[in-house]
Amino acid sequence: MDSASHNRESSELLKIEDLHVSFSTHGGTIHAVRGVSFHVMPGECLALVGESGCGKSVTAHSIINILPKAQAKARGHIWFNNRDVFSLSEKEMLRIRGSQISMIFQDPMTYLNPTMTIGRQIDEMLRKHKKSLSRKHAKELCIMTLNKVGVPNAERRYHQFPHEFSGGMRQRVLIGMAVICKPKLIIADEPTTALDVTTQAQVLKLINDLIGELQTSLLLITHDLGVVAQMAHRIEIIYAGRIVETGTAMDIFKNPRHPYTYALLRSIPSPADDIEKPLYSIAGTPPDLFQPPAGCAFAARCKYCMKVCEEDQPLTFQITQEHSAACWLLHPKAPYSMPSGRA
Amino acid sequence: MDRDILSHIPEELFVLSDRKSTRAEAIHRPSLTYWQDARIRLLKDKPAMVALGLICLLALFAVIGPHLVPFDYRVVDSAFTNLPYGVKGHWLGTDGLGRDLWARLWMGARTSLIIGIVAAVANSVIGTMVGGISGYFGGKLDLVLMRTVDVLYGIPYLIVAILMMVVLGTGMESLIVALIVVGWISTARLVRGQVLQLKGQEFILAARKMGTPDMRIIFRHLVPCTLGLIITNLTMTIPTYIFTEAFLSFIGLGVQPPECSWGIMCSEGAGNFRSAPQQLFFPAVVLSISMLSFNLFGDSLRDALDPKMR
Amino acid sequence: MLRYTIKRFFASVMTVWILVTAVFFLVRSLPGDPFSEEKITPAVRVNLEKYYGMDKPIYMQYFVYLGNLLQGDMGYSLHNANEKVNTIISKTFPKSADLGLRSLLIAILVGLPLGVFAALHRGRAVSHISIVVAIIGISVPNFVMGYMLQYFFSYKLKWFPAALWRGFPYTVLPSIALSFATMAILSRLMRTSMLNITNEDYIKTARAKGLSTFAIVWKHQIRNAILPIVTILGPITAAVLTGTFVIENIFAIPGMGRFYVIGINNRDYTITLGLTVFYGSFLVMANFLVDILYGVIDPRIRVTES
Repeated sequence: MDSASHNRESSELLKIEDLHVSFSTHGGTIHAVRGVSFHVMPGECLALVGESGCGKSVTAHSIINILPKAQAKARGHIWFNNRDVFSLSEKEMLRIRGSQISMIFQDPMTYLNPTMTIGRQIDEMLRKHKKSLSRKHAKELCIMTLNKVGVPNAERRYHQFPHEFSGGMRQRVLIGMAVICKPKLIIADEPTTALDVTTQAQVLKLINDLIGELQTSLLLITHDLGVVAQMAHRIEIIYAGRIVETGTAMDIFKNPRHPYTYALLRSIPSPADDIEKPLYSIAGTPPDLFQPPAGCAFAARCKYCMKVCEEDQPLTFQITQEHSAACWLLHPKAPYSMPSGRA
Repeated sequence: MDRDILSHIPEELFVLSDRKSTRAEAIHRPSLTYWQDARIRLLKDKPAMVALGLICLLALFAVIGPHLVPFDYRVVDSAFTNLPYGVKGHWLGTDGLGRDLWARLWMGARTSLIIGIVAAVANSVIGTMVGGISGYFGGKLDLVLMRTVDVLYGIPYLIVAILMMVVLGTGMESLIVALIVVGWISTARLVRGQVLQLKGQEFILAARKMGTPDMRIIFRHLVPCTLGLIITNLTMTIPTYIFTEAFLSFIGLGVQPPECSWGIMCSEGAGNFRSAPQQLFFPAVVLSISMLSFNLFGDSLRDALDPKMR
Repeated sequence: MLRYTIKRFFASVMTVWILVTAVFFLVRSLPGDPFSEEKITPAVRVNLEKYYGMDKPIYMQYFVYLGNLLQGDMGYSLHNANEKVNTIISKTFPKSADLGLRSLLIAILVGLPLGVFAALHRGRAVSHISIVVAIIGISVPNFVMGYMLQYFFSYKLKWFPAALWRGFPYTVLPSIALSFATMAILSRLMRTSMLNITNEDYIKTARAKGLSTFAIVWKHQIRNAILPIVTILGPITAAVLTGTFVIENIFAIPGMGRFYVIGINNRDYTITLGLTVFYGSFLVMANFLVDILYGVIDPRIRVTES
């Protein structure tokens, strides 16, 4: 496959190839993303799971290229519909953003313009991407969308301002903005983190229904494995800017092969746990991305760490066709391996 | 997987690590206190350092300047009025009454700078006390004080200053009193706002729950957090007071002859503007430089003390 | 919104009342009796007795005073027994207002776009120009600026007349001199405001929607960046107004500021106090209007009732 060409034929909707993103800051250069590769097929839901600061949001922002140009440097390829996002002009990107790829952001309070009515903010999408619609039809479509995402009294709400909505309602508005142009891919960056648990469930169900109905792909970015279990077909676990494990939901939950994934699953408290025992947590903190370690980024916190883990970046080992992990324990020469089966 | 790479790795490496080279929670960068961080950022800020240098230079000349020439700033010499610079030992020339401009410039600097700084410090102290107490204790006291402040805030300060000068009579002491009467209000509001915001934070709540007495909370927790704001505010109000003094003196309400300030010099120099523009020019330039320096330095100080910009 | 308006209105009325009362009692506290100086002719003295009711007890004098004010009567000049303070105000205030408005307009029309462009094109020429303007504006006092402009553009280059207020060319230099400080403040504030907004999350949403930079700046950034500007319109008006005191002096413009300064220097107390009350009340009213304006513009305040 000639990766140097800007177009290629392939069935994946989105394919990220060896993405590296770094930021220059006062304190030095942060290597936020250090070689991430994955793909999303049409109609599937892929979850990108990792803790804060692991590079998942940066990856998402790179997909639609809204990184701050002054500080960010990115290399690698991001193929969307067989075209490399990095090679597209800004004009072409403007056409893609919002209509072919749309984003749902994390905190509906700050991600809506406080001085503009909700209606206008949704209408903006149509004015930009569906210019042929008349004003009347555009307004109707907005109100229909508001209804569809479960905002009651849509006609009246159309003229209201963000601060007049509750948190859950605002998130529904953001979702409405994301689906109104029927995109091929929706990127949801921690869509439920800022919401309380009951609202979370409702919003997730809404997203699930919508992507089913529109046959859209969903890239779900989250740190919450519970959310993932409900929705994802496949899962990518990301740590310190690199993908450490890839697999179907079944693979990840039933047979995690990377110590980090294993630890993540172990740290979810369960009602069946013994109340007396302390909660499990992973000791240590993620590495400093100003000077990323030479070996595996998880080595310092991993209880199976070997000498080779400290010296060389682990390669990605294929376990089954859909399941792979970047861990030296999977090397044939490894003297032991992690316990298999559920965490 | 690439077989060559796999077989390149020596067997010995596939053993449990002895953890010499990695530490889970190693601290990678030295941690700095708030003040250390602020100081480092400030020192790196070149315009701020230049401004600070200028301020120090001005202060230096205010102290030693008048002593560098043999002339007294008050001595009138009708034989040598309106001399240009460099003539007859007068480095900057003389004014309309024959007084040496260099000596007057730096005596004026003393007056203007002292008035500016004293007024700013007094206002900061008063404003902080009022705002802090009002904000911390809240309740009726707060309500009364704030209503008063709101009402007083509506009156433009220059008008009140003029009024006070008319009533108190002119001169340096009245000027300082007038500046204090109008100025403490904005500091009080600022400090009160900050205290209110801090009061609601968890660490204050925790201190209270642990039974810490009020005074200790105020001095140990609230004051250090607001100190940055207070210092910045202080620095930024100095140029305002220097300007107000100059303005009032210029319209005849401030410092009176034979005392000297930059405002008076500008006013006198303006009279001879066509024929001897340097009489206005010298005090104007020094006045502008001092205001600019304090403003720039205050700006950078605020940025350095802003925790969000770390 | 209505409640907000009423609250602000009462605060304003209180402020004016306090100002007026303070003026009254301050006059009484002046050392000596300002009205018994030799300069005062019998004709003036008669007017004073009439206006102030000097023989009545002090609380009655106060009510006489308030009554006079409410009717808009501010007495007579001490030095010119036939001149009513009101006449002076009505003759001179329009000119000052004219000067002030022109300056405000220049400051807004130049300062705001300068700030916007400086925020958008950091590091380029516009940004540097805006920084230079800001530096000059905050450090050079308005009276110095007035003299500088007069010296260079009138005296030396002879492009504009140096004094008086007789037509458009006369208005150019004074308006610019008066506008400079405000222009600097506005451009700095606008620039900071725009930069703050650039970091806001909803700008990210706007970019993710595929809006062009121009649309984002115009529809999202500027609308939100203007809000902080409106809050300082009050103090800015005050600054411009007090600036007229010196600018009118420098350019010999027969406006109210000039009379005010002359009155102060002559110790003409009726004029001083009358004009002080007028200026004070005017600015309190201006602040009130700005508060209302802000309440209208910011939907968070406007729509709180719903």
